[in-house]
Amino acid sequence: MKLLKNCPLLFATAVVSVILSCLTFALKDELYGDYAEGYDSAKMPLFSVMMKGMADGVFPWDGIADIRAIDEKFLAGRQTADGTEKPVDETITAKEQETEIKPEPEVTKEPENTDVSGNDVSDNSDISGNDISGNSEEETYEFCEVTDDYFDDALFIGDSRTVGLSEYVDALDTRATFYSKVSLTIYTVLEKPFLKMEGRKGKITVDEALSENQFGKIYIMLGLNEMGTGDLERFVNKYAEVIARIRELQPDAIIYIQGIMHVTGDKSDNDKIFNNPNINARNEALSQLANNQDIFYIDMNESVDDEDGNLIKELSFDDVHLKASAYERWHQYLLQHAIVKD
Amino acid sequence: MINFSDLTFIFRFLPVFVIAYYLTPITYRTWTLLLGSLVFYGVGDIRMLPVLLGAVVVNYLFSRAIRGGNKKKLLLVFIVCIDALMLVEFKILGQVIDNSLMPLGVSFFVFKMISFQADTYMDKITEEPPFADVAAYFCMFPQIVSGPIMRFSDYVENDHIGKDAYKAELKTILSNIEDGLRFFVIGLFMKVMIADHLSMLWNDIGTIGYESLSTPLAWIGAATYSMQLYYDFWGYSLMAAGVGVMLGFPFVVNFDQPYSAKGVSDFYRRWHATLGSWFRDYIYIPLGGSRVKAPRIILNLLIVWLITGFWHGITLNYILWGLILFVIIVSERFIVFKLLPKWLGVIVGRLHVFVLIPLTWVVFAIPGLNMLREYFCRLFPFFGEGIAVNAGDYIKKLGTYGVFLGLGLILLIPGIYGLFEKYRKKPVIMAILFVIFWICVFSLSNSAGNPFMYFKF
Repeated sequence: MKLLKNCPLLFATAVVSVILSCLTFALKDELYGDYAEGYDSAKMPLFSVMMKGMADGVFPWDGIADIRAIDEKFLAGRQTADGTEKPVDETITAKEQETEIKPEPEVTKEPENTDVSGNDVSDNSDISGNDISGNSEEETYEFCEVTDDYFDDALFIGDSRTVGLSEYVDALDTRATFYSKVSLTIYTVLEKPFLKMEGRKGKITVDEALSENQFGKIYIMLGLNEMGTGDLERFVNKYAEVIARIRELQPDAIIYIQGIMHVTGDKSDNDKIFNNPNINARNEALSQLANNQDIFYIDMNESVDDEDGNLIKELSFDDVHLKASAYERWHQYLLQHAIVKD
Repeated sequence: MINFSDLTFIFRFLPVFVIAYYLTPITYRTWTLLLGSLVFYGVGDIRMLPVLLGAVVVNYLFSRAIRGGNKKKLLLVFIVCIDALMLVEFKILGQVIDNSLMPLGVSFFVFKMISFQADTYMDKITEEPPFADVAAYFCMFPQIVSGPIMRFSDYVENDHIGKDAYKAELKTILSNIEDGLRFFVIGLFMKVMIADHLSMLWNDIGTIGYESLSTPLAWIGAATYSMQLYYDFWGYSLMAAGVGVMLGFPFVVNFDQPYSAKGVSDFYRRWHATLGSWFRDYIYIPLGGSRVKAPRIILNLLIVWLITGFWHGITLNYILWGLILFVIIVSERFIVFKLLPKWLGVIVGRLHVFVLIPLTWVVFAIPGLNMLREYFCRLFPFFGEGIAVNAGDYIKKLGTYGVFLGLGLILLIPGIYGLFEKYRKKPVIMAILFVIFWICVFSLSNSAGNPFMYFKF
């Protein structure tokens, strides 16, 4: 008590730290399992794990309820029969299911498509990719130049770079729709509620928004934020899954998969993760997701790259984003690489 | 870990060190401080630890020789030159070759060393201090990275270490720690909740590209950078002083409401005060200070401000920054406060603080002359250069960062911090401190371990 009187702030802080640490320790395998992954005890205190969870709305009392439920199941299991391990199994299966789903979308990859050239803008002549696939009933489409009204029924989905496109290209902002958000990733793009709709309370997800509104063209540029997490395969599988879902919700839209924009040479040379070889590898994989019928791959990097294939230094302040005045290049590229179906 | 706003510092190093410090018998406590500080430094910059150690030993030996008597002045000049050369050399190396060649905190520990030598020479340090005290004073971890540049006379004020230390009651120790913690928390809040968020806005502004800013956003940017720098450094200084208080040192005032200053010279008595008083005591006054004729005063001020510019960095913008301040200060001294009517002088002085100072920070912030020109063209768009790509950009930024700008503006009112200082032992303030501490920890938890804290794409 005397201690408390002398130094209440110190005392309260110490007590709370201990309580939080104990709580996190108790919950780190179940409730905060996802957040504890990759936790490095040398870098931060244990309760940071819980705070990360709380930032996503996962609170300890959810966990206490969970534990109680597990305990009850556990006890019930014991009383009825032999299955002592059972309750633990159940919690794991939930996670397993999640991972099992993933390989599935690989089917959408086109096995016969051995060459990317179909989408490669560089040799965009008459002998484009579709001839290679040799599918006679499919039509061949070519990129052509359009005017801004092309974007009247267009939707852009993307991360901070697409946010920039909306902020600094008025012609697009006034015509097209943007479902974009800083640090958006392919892993959360459909499920994360971040869209504010006029005359509606709360925020909705892209999945919901796409169920309600139809678009003529859908442009996607995602993939830079994802480079730090998960390998290429997981990324592409998830990407394919997202495309398949969009296809389902928007049967008539032309889908444009945009290659990830490069970073500058400075950044590329000094960053183990966010560098252009990694981006190129992912772009190469993304380009395979196109079918050149209703899903196309376009790569705007040619409009902002220098001769070494890096983002031109002068176009960027932070080596990652375009400066406001440089977004026009992207806009021009889109105008010149459009698919028009009659 | 060497950031005070790092969770491993707050929850690991600091508590462990404070406990070890007070558990050590008084006779050896200085050594605990020294050892702890060297560990701290080693974690931050192990490669340059030998440089620090070498500088400490050489300076200790010279201080003994200076105290010894013969040729005092020559010895003083010699060691001050060595220290100054070391600083200049590392600054150049760091600038020209690679930033990692600049030892952590070199600007600060060298200044402490010079001040120690000068104080020894001027007999301000009456008793000869033992090696451990001198070394601990140079290296002490609360000040090694970015100051404050405490004087040795403040170091020996500490009753918990050194020759005159006595065994303190647990109650005294706990109330020391408690009081230090209060300053630490308020500093942490300034750094984490205000400065770090404003630095994201400043980065956003760079991302847009200076040539494409709208004029309102350019001005918001000037205010943003000014406040970011202020709360970053003031917050740091409060945390450093707070840790000092925990260990029994007197509270070192480094920022004293600079934006309430009456003019730019007053501003710099209040801003980074330990650096300002260092320049006053060890450069300006030895040069004759203000007791000489006007042309000589101007020359003295020029020398002081050129060195101040160099001290911050050897790129052109820092020198330019120092020169601009020199011009403003000279104009205040010889025109504004001397020739203008008093009421007008008061207004002009305040305008200097609120308009010119933020503009000087823009010069301080932007290293390339070309980019600097672009920025000023957007601040003053009379020359028709550059164009706002999105004229409404500032509305959007205000929406995102308005809260942090608002917080920063509120804390500019001198009374607010004054209230905290006066009533910091009252339960209400303590409850507030408790809450904001955990808000900071929450914010840090969600950015720590993520190297891209400011750069989510």
